[in-house]
Amino acid sequence: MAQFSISNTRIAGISAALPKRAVSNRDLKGLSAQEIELLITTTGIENRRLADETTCASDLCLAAAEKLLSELNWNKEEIDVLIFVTQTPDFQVPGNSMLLQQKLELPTSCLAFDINQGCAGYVYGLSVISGLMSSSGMKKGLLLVGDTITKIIDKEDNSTTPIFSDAGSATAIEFSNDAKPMHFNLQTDGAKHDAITVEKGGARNPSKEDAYMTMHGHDIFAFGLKEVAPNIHALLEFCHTNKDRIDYFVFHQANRLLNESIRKKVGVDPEKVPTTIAKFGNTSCATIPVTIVSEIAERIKTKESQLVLSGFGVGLSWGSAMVNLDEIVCPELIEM
Amino acid sequence: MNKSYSEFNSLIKSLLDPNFTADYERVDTWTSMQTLIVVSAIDEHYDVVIAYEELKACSSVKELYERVVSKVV
Repeated sequence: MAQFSISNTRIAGISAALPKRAVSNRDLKGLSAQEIELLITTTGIENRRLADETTCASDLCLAAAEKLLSELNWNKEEIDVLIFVTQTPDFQVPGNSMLLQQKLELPTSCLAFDINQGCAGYVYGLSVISGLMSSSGMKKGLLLVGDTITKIIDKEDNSTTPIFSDAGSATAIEFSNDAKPMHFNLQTDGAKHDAITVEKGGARNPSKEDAYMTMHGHDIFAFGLKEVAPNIHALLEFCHTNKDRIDYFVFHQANRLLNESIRKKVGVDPEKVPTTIAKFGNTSCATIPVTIVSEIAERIKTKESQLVLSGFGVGLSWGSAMVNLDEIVCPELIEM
Repeated sequence: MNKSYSEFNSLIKSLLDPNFTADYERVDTWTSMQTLIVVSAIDEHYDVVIAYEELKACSSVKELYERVVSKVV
């Protein structure tokens, strides 16, 4: 069972970047006004952010990282590890982490690798970088999490186009003997891997023609209803705590109907569950840091806060983390 | 489960906009969004998650009710 705690690492800062270009779901083609209204009511998604042709997840994460490092006043020479979580890397090979090691001018002593993960990617990535630093004693690390998922969506597909947006994020992790432990509960069900796939463009089906992401929305919805809340309840039990001691529950921003169902199942008030689904849509693996930066930055910059983070999606993968944020650095959301 | 078919039927009727559904009791007339709304409500009120295949195998609200009843622990 992948329930575990990690000591001696703390989140020092979180930043996020979004494309400036906003589109409204009210302008969707091929749907009637009534259908659009029902779609917006159900998904909660009114506006989305789309990267232009020349902007990739690496560019959004680069901007987020530069801003964060500047505000943290970190010496880049001291960064020991960089992990990039994405499903939309610039190239098949090499990974984005290597590109960003160079673009950020990090030392060649820095360990860098990519993780292919989707909507659970922030929680998974946080567990990997924190565990690595805790066990190795590496002092400073960067977790970059982002996707330009709209680049692998068929614009004619009304099951995915109205849902997804692009974003990038950077999270700074540092070794600290005084850090309160992070706790994780991570799960996988590969038997349902075909619920969200990009079947073409990989080694199995090399053709890149129509290499779009397809999603069985109903299967994902049922999965979210069934698995997410029990995963969070198990995490709280593992931590010997309860929901009343948590300041915020930051869920992956899937859609309003599912997120509201999960919130009710977890049994928390809406005030404790920040959301960005209406204005930014589903930014894939970046929804959790985007929501933190957009909605609760002022609080976490000035007051110690206990957060539960929950990601769920492609894989199927899902997981939750309980983290303590102790007056961290959180720059204003970047729009570029 | 102590909720009757009548209550279940009323719940489903309250969820579905008549502008979209000529005959709300015919499951095959529901739009994709409407099925999500129904699945969510069944989960909330009956603590039962209905898979898409299960829902599509039902032709009527009555059949769906019986499916839900059979899954209640």
